[in-house]
Amino acid sequence: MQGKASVVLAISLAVCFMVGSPLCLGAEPIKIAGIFALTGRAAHIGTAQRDAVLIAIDEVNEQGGINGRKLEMVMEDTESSPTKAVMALKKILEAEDVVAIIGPTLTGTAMAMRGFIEQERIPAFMHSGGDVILKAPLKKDDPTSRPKWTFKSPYKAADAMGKICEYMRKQGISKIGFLYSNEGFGKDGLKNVKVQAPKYGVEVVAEEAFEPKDVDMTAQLTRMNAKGVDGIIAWTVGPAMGIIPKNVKQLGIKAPLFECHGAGDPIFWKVAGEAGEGVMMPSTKIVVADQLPDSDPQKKKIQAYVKAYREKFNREPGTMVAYGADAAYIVVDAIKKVGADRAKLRDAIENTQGYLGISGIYNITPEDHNGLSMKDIVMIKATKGGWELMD
Amino acid sequence: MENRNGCKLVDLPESTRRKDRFSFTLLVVIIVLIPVLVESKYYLIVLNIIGLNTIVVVGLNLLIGFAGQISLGHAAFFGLGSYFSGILTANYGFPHWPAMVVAVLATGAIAYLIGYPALKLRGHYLVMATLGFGIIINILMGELEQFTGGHDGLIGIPPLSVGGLIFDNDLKNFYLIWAFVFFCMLVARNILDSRVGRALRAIHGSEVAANSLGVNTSSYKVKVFVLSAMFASVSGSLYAHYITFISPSTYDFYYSIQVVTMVIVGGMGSLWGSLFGAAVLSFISEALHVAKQYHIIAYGVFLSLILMFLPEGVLVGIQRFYQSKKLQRRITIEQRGLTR
Amino acid sequence: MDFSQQIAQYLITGLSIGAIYAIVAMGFNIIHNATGIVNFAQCEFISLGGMSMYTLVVLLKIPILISFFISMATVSLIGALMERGPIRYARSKEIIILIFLTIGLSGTLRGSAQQIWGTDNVGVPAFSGEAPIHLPVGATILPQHIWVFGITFLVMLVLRHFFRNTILGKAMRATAVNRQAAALVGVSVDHMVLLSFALSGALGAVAGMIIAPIATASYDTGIMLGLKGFAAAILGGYGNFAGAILGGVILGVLESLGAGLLSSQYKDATAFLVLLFVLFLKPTGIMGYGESERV
Repeated sequence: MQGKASVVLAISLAVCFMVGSPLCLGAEPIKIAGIFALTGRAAHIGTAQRDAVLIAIDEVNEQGGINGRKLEMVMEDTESSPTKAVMALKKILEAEDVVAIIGPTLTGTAMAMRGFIEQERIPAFMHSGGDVILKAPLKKDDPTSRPKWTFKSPYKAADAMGKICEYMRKQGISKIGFLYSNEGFGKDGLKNVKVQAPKYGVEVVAEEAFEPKDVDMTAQLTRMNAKGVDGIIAWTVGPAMGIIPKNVKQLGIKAPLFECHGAGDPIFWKVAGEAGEGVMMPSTKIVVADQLPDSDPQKKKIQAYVKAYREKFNREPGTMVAYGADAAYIVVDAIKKVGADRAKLRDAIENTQGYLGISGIYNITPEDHNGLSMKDIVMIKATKGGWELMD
Repeated sequence: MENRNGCKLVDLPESTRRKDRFSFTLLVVIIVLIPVLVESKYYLIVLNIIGLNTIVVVGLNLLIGFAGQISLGHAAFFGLGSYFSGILTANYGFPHWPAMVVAVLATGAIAYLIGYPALKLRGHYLVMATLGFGIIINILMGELEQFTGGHDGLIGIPPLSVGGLIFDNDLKNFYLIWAFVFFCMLVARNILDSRVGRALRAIHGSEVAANSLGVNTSSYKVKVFVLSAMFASVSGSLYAHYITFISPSTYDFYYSIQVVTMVIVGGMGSLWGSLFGAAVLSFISEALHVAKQYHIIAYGVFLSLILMFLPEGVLVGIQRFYQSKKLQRRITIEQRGLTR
Repeated sequence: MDFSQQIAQYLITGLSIGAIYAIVAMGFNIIHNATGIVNFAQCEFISLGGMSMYTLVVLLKIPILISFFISMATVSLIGALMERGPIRYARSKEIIILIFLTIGLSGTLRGSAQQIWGTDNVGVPAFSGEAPIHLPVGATILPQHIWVFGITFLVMLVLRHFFRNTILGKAMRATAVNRQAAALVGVSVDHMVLLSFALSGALGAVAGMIIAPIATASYDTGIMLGLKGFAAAILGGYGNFAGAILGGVILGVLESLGAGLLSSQYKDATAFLVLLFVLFLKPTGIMGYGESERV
């Protein structure tokens, strides 16, 4: 192994020399690291995000790259494991001269990588849903020690939850049950609903959990229904998105069903089938691009992206695709502005103002490394195998 | 070597001891030399993970290879080590090293509580019991949020330190972790070379026979189970202080399966095989990433091939191969001699 | 909805989940009864059954009945190939080596399935509609659940008869007890082991197919079901078919009662805790006989 390591060392030294030599300069591509969960339990999300990022990068390259330099994504797989994610990060940072990181997919992997990203001083635009990545302090004894180099593209789960509760108030729904998958994403939702629901006069009378790979949730729904709820929120991405509507229908529960901001995806229809009819959820605008009013500033951009996505992958994009694409676009935009320098890039990303993205309009500030707000979220309803824009 | 009663121990021949002394010396030399040759942080983290896995695997091999009992719950003990250390230091400001000792003792106590009834089970029933225990512990890591941080994980675990030296980078952790690997292997070696070791081998050979000779088999099985859990706990503590962040998904049953696989690939009942098993599988699972999206398939094929053709473990397999080569050469030389 | 209706629903739900665990458990039992090993690739048989059903019914529009038998045959063939190849040519016949060999093979199969079908979950249409059936006790089930109950029970009866009363079945059992002795009395050990893998492949596929309309299918659905099925098999007594049904039902009912009455967060923990206690009290499972061999 020592021999192998020294060979790798020699090669990487040689590569460094070549990169540094003026002969190669200019033709050398700008490298971005893409770290996704391509295998393991979150593979279904990670692969979709990878595809989304690839489109953005292809687009830039087709337009001739940035100042004549092509973009290249160096990809690593976290295998959905925090340890492997840290290893992937170190591997990529050493083997390649990357200017920024896009990903990872899971909140757990993001949390494990976060500290090392701060140490390495490289901007990272993450796709993970959990708000905790930005909220949790880096040091236990210093609550103000927020990550400087970490950003995230999906809007805050708190805002998505707020959007649902706001809609519920309008519909006169006041007693709800909250059903969540028993892992990071679901638990995050539980914390948010406890904060958001009271703001809109909605009371959570039942909280029930299920394991992400469970095959049946009728027990939880029966218990919930017995408490007389008039609305149900199901917080999960995965097969349960489809199983829950089926179970609700089986039990004849009349209370309307809401799902999370990850459900607006063609997979929803694949797993829910006819039972999916009428389920409501917050979403990015990408799935209802054609229904947006022409006055919507994002409409053209989203339609163009959806077209490119359909052509490349021959399928409809889901809501999660938007997050992947935006992370890539914002990074690319920043590179265009300040060049391929990590520190300058970080500052540029942090000063992204009014960026017209696919998920929404990003206003990133030092205090808010996400930059989206509740305005960027729309409520949609699953109708006839597609989506209907509400309000 | 003589024990207190003055009886000669006959089970480990002098040649094995000499070989072991040589191997331990070689290990030290390699540990000292590697950082001189490897400057890559990535290779260091791979080596560190190999080291952490080795500690778990050495302990587990005592249980599987010598006492013949399978546990698919060692992710739980690895996790208990991490969480006890992490919670005590990050949440309650405990000093690191005492926290680690507490973690090892507490994990040992829990292992005793579960091991005492579980090791009465046999075969697949023991596998299921340990698997179930592992899953329960993994669920608790996610649910006891006020202590563990839940699925968001436990942040802000401080790095270990000795005096003014803080183990806060890959290189320093390399020396720390591999010092522990060395120490743990030495402990395992000495245990095998003792009364306990002989009892264990007797149990593996035939439990009934061992029992009839006056070996309290169930007590020994529980003891070695507790010991292997403590090894895993040490490794877990080191992991927590090294990565400084822990979350439940690191300690799921896949990890339990992975470490047992390492024991088998390295060679059941082979101390040095444990090191090899951990190293080969950890390294291969990383190296196969060159196969891009096919790395899962490649790993499966690799593992299957090893188990098909080197069932005694990689180390023994290679040794056999060389021995047979040597033997063949000698035979051909002798044949030549004869024909002349 | 009053309390007795709730309880009725919990029990019905538990039974329907339990039936699935039971059929998975029987797949584990078949291979155990012929070889003494735990075949972890059983998990992949389940996933493959579901995914091939999806391919045939949804993508190729082949009628459900025909698809059912094609899938069964395909996965059964994969099981047979697994035995013909790696298992047979493994140099060691030690049980633990073979068990971990099946783990390696299961990884290979899962990785391949991911490349073929991607990572998304997919739905498969129910065998006979999705209109809920209202039972007199106040609980509701789907027609698919009736299929699950019926097929599981049928499989149990057939297997029981096969292993108890037919020469072939007895020969398979003899193989597990003592290969050499079985060979001496004229049993073709090779054929028995091959048959057991083919059979359990078919059974895994059946499990995957009947559950797919309820729980959707994906390249890795089998892992969790396989784990629970293994637990059910152990709980009932490893190798015993009536025990598999009992174990599956107990596990399923425990989970749903646990979720309905105690705490849904701890329902799996509760189920496994009860499993541990049962094993500590009865070390060979509820209906198991003594097991003298060691893994």
